[in-house]
Amino acid sequence: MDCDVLSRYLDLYLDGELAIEERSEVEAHVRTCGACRAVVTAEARFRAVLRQQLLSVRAPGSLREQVRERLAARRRPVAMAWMPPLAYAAAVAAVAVLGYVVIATYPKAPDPVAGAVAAHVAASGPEVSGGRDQVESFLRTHAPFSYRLPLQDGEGIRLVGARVTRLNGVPAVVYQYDAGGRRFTVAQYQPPEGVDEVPPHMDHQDGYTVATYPDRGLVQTLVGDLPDGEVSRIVPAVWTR
Amino acid sequence: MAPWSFGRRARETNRFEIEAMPHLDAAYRFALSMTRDAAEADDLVQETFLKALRSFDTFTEGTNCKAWLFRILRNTWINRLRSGSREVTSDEAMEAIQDASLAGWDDRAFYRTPDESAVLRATRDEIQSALQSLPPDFRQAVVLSDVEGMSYKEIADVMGTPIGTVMSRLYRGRRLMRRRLARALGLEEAGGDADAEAGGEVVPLFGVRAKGEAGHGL
Repeated sequence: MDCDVLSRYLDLYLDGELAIEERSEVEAHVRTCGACRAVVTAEARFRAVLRQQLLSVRAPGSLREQVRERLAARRRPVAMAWMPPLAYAAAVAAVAVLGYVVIATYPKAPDPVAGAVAAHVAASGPEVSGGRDQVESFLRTHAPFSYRLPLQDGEGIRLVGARVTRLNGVPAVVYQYDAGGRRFTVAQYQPPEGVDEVPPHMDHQDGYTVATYPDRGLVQTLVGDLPDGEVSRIVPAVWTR
Repeated sequence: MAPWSFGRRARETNRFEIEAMPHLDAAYRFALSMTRDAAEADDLVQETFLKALRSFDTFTEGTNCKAWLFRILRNTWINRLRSGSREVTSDEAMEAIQDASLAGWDDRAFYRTPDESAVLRATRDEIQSALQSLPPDFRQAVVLSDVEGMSYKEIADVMGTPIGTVMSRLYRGRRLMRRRLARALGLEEAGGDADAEAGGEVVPLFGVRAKGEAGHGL
């Protein structure tokens, strides 16, 4: 290899784009030729300076913060994504204090959840009306799976009926409760295949507060025109039982 | 029944944080090299990361996340240029201009200036302004290679061009940059204003690769 040939491969050599044989040829020449060695060394040094100087340019802290905030918003439940961070933090704190940890986010409501909201809104006549005894006697013959009453009566909450239905194709029992004159429903269904544990999750849809959480191997979606705090109060009751 | 995906979005966001966030500084540098304006670079990176986050399910795990992000970044920038009234100079027009200003360039001469260590003491601002004077595609290639350390293949991937084009842009971009830096530092020797020179040493030492499309083989 002579100087002219080396000069053609200077960039490739320093960029690490030469094959091993070519690389050793360049190195053999550089060892014996002072002029080429000087150019290679000087160019390598200059590149190091350039790299060092320009790598010191960093994204501004404000940009990093904004991107991080986007990520955080995406982790939040859809309805909460619009809350300012402080309001969100307050909501999470309020919920966490009650022992109800919000973990999950959903790209959109899973089918049964959307179905639970529709079932709550439609309020077609319950298949059974009445308290715990009537509901249990009805469900023993009609429930599509091994049901469990989601909430105990008490603290202003009263079971008033239930029906068996499908929520967007998922077999479910929808329980109806009365909370001081306001009605809310709890849809109960089996977790999707391959999902062991559904993370508790609170959301808002169509003006309703929607809380989805696991309970003794089943999934429950509470839907009601209730304040978040009220829902949080009701849900841990299930949680701690 | 539609497949359920409990927490899918949260998981994907976590993965994004691990894979993409480490490239934020690099993305900002690359954005800055295109926009040459801090506020616009900031905005461009935000839009890019938002787009990337939304389409992260299309990113194949285990492939090159940095190159993937940079490609989105560059495409987003080009879309902005097209939709705005900004003029996009064609590569051909640029190459014609640059051919003239590389005339008389000699790599050896550059490193044989009276005080070559001055080049090594160039400040960030001096280097940046030399870089910013380059035509966009040359500048991008130089930044991706010399600052970000990307391979020719990766650069070709980001810029959507053949490797030969990458090599050509690097060759020209690097030497133009050095010439401009040397001038800014007052290092280029008398008569070095080769832009206007027709005579003199027209073929640069490494000019063989100025056409750039040659392969790797010896």
